[in-house]
Amino acid sequence: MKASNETYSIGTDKATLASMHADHAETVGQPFCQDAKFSTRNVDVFYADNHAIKDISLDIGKSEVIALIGPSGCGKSTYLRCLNRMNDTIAICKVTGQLLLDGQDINAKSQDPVLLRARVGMVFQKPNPFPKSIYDNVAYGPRIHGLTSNKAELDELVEESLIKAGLFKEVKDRLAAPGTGLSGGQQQRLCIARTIAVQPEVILMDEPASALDPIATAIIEELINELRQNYTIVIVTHSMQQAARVSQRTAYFHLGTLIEVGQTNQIFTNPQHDLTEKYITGRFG
Amino acid sequence: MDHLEFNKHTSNTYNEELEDIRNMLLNMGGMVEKQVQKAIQSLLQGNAKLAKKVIKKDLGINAMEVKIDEECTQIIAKRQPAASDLRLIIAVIKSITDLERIGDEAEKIAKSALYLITEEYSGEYFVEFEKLGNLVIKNLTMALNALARLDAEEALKVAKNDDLVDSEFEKLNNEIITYMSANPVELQKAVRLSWSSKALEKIGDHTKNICEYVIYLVKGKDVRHIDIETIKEEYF
Repeated sequence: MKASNETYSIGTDKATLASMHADHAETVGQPFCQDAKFSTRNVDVFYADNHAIKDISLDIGKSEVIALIGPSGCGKSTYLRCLNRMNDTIAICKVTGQLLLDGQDINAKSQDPVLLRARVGMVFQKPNPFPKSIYDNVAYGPRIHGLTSNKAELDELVEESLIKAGLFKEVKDRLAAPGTGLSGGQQQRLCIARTIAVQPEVILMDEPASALDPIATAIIEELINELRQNYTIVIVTHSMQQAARVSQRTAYFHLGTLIEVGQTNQIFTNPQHDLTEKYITGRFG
Repeated sequence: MDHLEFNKHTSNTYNEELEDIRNMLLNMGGMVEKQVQKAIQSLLQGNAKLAKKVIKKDLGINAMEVKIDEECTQIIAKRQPAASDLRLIIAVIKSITDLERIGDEAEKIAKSALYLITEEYSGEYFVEFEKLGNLVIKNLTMALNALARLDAEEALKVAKNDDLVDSEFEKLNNEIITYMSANPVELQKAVRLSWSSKALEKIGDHTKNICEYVIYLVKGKDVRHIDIETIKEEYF
């Protein structure tokens, strides 16, 4: 894996954490953590003249599920897309600030965005399988990244990814069938299998269950809980209950700023910031 | 977060549902408060008619508990409340349990009153019993006011007052025991008075519980089983 040579030391002891929190007192709660996978500091994003996210500093811990919540247009998806440089694909978008993955700057010139996206995979709101077979959907990433050396290894990786995504039992007899022929929930799990197949370290999920029925949603949520053992997951969701169910930490965004970050248990019972309280209780007019 | 606004949701229907629950809770509180007053009055004045009324009215309080519980269940099912809304529902569900038990204690006092009237009790220690009763009613009224106004400071004050209720109860109960030893013939009646004093002490405990729910609702901190001084230092 080719990565940037630029590394930064990040203070992780308790005293340093306390001083970091004090330096970013505009965000209520605990935006930083001791065992960070991602450390993002003073991140700003502009879409031409539109200042979409403003001075956001947030850590994403290893093997945790962090939920990003907030009203439409608050910048949560924009922030999510900074984490694997998906905003690079938007010509008018400019990202500033520091985004470190395991201490390495993901925006460094030496960082290949394709390789970054293999480490930081993404699942979108609408299932978007390729117009290929179920097998080829999952095999696509490993093939382009050269992760396997022969057909048997690839078969094994495809099967393992489908098992992890909780889809294998349902599709094992029709791997050659088109991925687009699956139900919505199955398609989304196929996309998760496709993401897992390139062995990422972080999975970004942008409203992964918003187009699914309650049963398919429950399966995805259960899957997120299982995936947490091996991956760091960042999920954007409009469903408060989903955020409460699947995440350990929750971050509340409002008009491009990070208002509050805390343990999910605390955010949904006793948020500290008035705006968080208003949002999660449905008091915004 | 000390500033709670339960009427500011985007959904007006939700505002109304929460408002209804709060109103029902306060009505129930008012009913229970009257029950305690009347039970004490019936005992002190030897008013059998009033005591019977108190006993009958307890059924209404029980029904109210069931009704509010049902409304809270509906809100949880339909709205999945969070944060202060969730704490409100939890506080209501817990408060009505204590209010219902206060109602039961009032009923016990009324039943003792009927016994003492029938047995023509002399009225020994009624002055002390009235003093304890007044203290308990004052605390209950203050707790219900704190609940209505979502006033955590007031709730803390009332919770602290329970120590006085406990010490007054201990004092009265010791005196009744001494009286029993000296007047064995009055034993049965004195036991009833002792039970009634204990009922007042228990009302004090339930009142303190309600205060703790007010603090939980307003401050978001569960302060049960923590001494008052620690609560004051850490959460106020």
